[in-house]
Amino acid sequence: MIAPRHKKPTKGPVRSDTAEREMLHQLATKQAPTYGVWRSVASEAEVLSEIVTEIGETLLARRIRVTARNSAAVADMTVSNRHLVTLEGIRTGEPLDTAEVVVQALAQEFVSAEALKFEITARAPTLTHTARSWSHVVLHEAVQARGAAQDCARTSLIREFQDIALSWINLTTHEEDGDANQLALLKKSTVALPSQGHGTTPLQCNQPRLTLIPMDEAMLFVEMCLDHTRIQLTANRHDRARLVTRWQALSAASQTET
Amino acid sequence: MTLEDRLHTLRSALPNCQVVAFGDAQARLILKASHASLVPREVLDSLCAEAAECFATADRIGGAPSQASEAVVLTDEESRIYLRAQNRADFLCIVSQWQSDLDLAVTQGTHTLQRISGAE
Repeated sequence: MIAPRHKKPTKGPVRSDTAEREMLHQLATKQAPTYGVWRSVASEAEVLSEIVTEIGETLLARRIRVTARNSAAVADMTVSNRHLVTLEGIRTGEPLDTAEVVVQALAQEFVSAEALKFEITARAPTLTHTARSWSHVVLHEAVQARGAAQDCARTSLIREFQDIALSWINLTTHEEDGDANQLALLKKSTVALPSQGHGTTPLQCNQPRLTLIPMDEAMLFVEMCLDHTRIQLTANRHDRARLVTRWQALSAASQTET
Repeated sequence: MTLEDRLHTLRSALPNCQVVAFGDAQARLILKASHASLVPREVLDSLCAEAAECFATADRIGGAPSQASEAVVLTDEESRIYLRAQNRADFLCIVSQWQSDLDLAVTQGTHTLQRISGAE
């Protein structure tokens, strides 16, 4: 007769579970980005934040190359003691006198970046004898000020569009104003028609975009996507030029900034 | 004049024009395109998808098929104009720099589309 097998004490499995748990914990824990690895960036603010954060985390003197995956953009930074000492390799229209100009130059260089890579190219770079450097705190403040100015211009544009509109609906905040019939029309725009099948989706809103569709002789349908805000409105068709001019003014400002 | 010639003529006539394309919004296909520099297939596909989305939006609001025959999309870098003949799936797409003259592009594009449609 074969004796029944007794289960072994649960020590082994417990050890295995613990190891697995630790592995899962490590996987779930966000790792600090390492050098030579692409870091995804979705906006100018994220680009600047990555670069300034890198400067803020660099204590010992290092020469760091920043590259963008989808463009030829390159910047060589000499960083020491959380200060940017030199910035080379980027095109600048004016001398890098202030933190604002440095931030603007970085934004211009990496304007279309979808991912950034940081690489240490020298571990003991020669530091130039200059009295000027930019601390990560000052750079961070310049990034915030730049963002605030852009937000202000965009908020102003959204208000102007709402003033021009006959009716409008903010799909982000769910606010709305105007004639009930026109609001009902606007709400139709995001509901797919059966005849349109699965291939047609409502207009995506992941980039700044203004869409203008004249619906008839008198009415214009407009959708504006700006800074994660999506607004749809109806306007008089003769107001198209005003809307376009205001949008182009924002584009011009954006081109000047960058 | 071939379709290719017409697209090229239109692109040459519009200042700052980068791409003129003719496609079918229903089939989601660019049939012919004229462009100065190389434009990846994915970009042409995305233009086609955007045209389909714009006209579908118009049809959702105005009833399918709506009277809407044009859609203008502006970004902070470029303008994209989509034109279609009424009750037709084929469309013309004009991509230009953001500061381009939209009215001129719409007028010239409509004229070209009529000629293309008439020639078929």
